[in-house]
Formats: sequence, structure tokens, C-alpha cells
Amino acid sequence: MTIRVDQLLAGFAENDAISQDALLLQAVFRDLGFESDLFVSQSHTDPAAAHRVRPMTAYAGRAGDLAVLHDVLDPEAVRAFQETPARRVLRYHNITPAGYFDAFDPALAARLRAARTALRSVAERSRSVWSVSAFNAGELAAWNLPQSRVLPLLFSEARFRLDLDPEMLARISRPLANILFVGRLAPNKRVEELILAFHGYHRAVNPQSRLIITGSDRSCPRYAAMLRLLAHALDLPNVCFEGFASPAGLATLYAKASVFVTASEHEGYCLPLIEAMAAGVPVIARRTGGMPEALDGAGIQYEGLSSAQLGELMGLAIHDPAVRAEALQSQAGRMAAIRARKPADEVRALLADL
Amino acid sequence: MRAIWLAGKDRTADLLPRLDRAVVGRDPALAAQVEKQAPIAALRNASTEAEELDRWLALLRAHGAVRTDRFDVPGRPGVAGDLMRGVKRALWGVLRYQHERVAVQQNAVNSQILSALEAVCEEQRREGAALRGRIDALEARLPPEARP
Repeated sequence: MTIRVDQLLAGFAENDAISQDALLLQAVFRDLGFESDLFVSQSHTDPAAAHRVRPMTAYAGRAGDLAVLHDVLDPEAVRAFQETPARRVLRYHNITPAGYFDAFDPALAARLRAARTALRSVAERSRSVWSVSAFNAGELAAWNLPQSRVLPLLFSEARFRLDLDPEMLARISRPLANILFVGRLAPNKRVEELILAFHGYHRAVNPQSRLIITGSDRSCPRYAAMLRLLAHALDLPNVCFEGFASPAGLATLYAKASVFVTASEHEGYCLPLIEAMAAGVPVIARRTGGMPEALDGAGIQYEGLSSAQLGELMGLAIHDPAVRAEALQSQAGRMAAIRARKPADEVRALLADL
Repeated sequence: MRAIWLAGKDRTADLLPRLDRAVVGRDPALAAQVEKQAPIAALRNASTEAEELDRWLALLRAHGAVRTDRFDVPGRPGVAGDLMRGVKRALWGVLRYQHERVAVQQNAVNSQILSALEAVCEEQRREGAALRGRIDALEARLPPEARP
């Protein structure tokens, strides 16, 4: 009987970093000769992507199989993982510190605190923990887990080789400088810093510009409302909240972006940085969390800048040919290294460790 | 610590002074505009959800109005851009009675919705306090060892 390597996820949606990682891992497992499916609670599955996954209730791991749990945010997935006779591996993507949500969503903050508590027991009962970055592995280091490994988040450019979305193209057809942010609208992302920085850039440097904020606003609606209020109060109609973009829509935004900027304070890795680099867009990121690892010296990183200084830094990345060229050259080198990765070899080595 | 890295190299020494010079050279009104809106970004610093809600509602009161009189008309650079900007500004002035009427109607709607929201919040608070009082009274009747 063929060994199964199944993955259990807390949620599934196109363009979601964890979902993409799981899909790429699934392809690797299948290439290695395993049977492999993704299991997700139906209530946490984007209907548009439902064909890619099976309901969590259908999961039935056997002794000798392997179960990979992506994070510990869904109690149903955690329960299935803990009860399975299969060998267990935790894929650790990080848990946002709950304190960021205390003011906006205490219930979510409580869930995140519970997840942090559950993380240790789940990690200790797993054969191995595959963190997506050394930063994440470092968070677990204090627990002295015997099999803590780093398998950087997987990335494939295939899903960006799409025809550009004509609807999105029409929306951003005016030839403006496009400053792009991609990510959930969550307080740890510090999107308000981007709006304040854009205010300075737009008013003082280049009025022919727009800030495009793309990502789900459902994870913390009150924070998203705060962002909209800020853009309104600063009279910035060129701050565009695009919501969750389709794969073709996202590819269009990257293709038309002048610079990608994130002021996020907490990231386990930050896949959009890689996506932007793959699209040949210069990136600016706060030097924190797993982002320095994702960039590995490429692009522009900063620490401690005010929003006004960040706005001017956006200007340098867009308008200064030397700065832009240096950033893009370093990113090309980083992308070459990422493209040279052999995920099958990396996964095979991890499986041999079990 | 303020620092900038470009392509993996610490470029704070040459890039940060450039940013600082540019920021110092900006119109001071820009910094004042940002300063004025600081309470919005500071919502994240509320210590409880209730405090955040109170502050949010107060901010909505302050920012819920649509204004069309001080409307920034953007323009493209160059003579043609300046000309078009002038035309748009003039048109905006000519259409004042139309867009101000729309703004007044919108503000009336915003104000009604906000008032209703405040009333719902107040009602919920009263109801919560009353229920808390009843629970406290019921718990007081329990023997001490059975109280939560």
C-alpha cells in the first residue's frame, strides 16, 4: 500500500501563502511517490478553491503514513492531527503575537493566545517541526525540540505566468507610480505607516502616484476600518484598497508596480517579498522577523525610520536610477538562488530524518 | 536606531542624510496634516476593545462629514497639466451648488447612521451592565465555595 503524506490546514484560499506552500509541498510529495491530499474544514475553505482540498472530516491517517499540520489555529485540524496514528510533522508558519489584536478584536487575540499555548504541546508531540524560516525555528528553540528543522517557504512562479487581468488593468490604467503592498490587513502589518508615508510621497514628491493595498480585510475588520478612516482623513483618494485579488489580478498588480513596500513588524517569512522580486519590482521592507531571511540581503531594508522618511525612501526606490538598479540587481541574485532550490531534495532529506 | 540597507550593504551614512534633507525641505503643512490625524493611527494603542470603540466613534464624529469646498484638484506636470488643472478648478467652482447639495445630503445620512450606531452602543452597554448586576446578585446568593 502506498504511503500517504497528507496535510492538514487551518484554512485554504488562492493567493494565501500557507495554502500555496501546502500545494507546492503536495506536488513534491506526489513527485516522491506518495499519495497526498490537503484537508481543511469546509467552513474555512474559499469556495473558489474548494476543488483543491478535501474536508477535514474525511481525513483518516494510518500508522506508517505521515500527517503534516500547518500551524495550530484551527482546533478541528489540531484534533485530527493529535488523534491520528500517522507520524506527525508540524509545519510552523508563525503565530502573530496576540497583543496586536487586543484593541481591535479581543476574541481573535484570545484565539491567538490559545494557539501559542497549544503550539508547544503540538510541537512536542510531533516527530519533527519544519519551520518556514530560521526566525520561526528560533522562536521554538527554548523548548529544545529534538527535530526542529528549517524548510523555507516554497515558492513557484508558475501561478504568475498568467494573462494580465483586463479588469484590473483598466482600473490602474492611468500612468501613475504604483506603490504596492500585499498582505492581510492586520495590525502587525503596520499598514497605517504606509498610508502616512504615502501621504508625504504623494504630496511632496510625486502627486502622480497611488498606493495599492491588496489583501483580505476580513481578518481584522476594525483595523481595516481604521485604515480607511485614515486615508479619508488625509484626503488621499489615491489610496486604493483592492481587497483579496485573484491570481491574475495579483499578477497584474505586480506587473504594474513601481515599488513594493511593507512596514510589517512581525512576519514569519513574507512571501509577497519573493513574489515582488520575481516580478522585477524593487522592494522595501522593515528589517525584522523572517523578512531579512526572505530577502537574504536583497532589496532595501530599513529600521527606525519615520513615516516621512519612509515616504522619501519610496521616492529613492522609484526615482533614483542608481538606487533602483542596485536594489534590482541584488534581487535578481536572490531570485536566482531561490530558482535554484531543489525542494524535492530538501523534502527528501527531511523525510529521511524522521 | 535608524538604519538603511541597500543590496545587503549598510547605506545609512549616505542615504539617511538625503532622506532627512528632503523631509526638512517639505512644506511644514504636510507634517501638520499628519500630526492632526495622529489620533486615528493611535487607535491601535487603545488598551481595551471598549476604549477603542469609544475613540473610534469620537473620530467618526470628527471625520464623518464630506467636504467639497476644499477639494484638491490634482494635475499632471507641464503646461498642459497646469492648464487642465485650472479648467478643472474653474468647473468645480461653477458646479459648487450641485456638489455641495450632494455633500449636504450625504452628511445628513452619515450623521443619522452615526447617531443610530451610538444609540445601539449605549443600549448594549446599559443591557450589559444590567445583566452583570443580575449575575452578581445571583452569585451573591450562592454559598462562598460555589461562587466562580
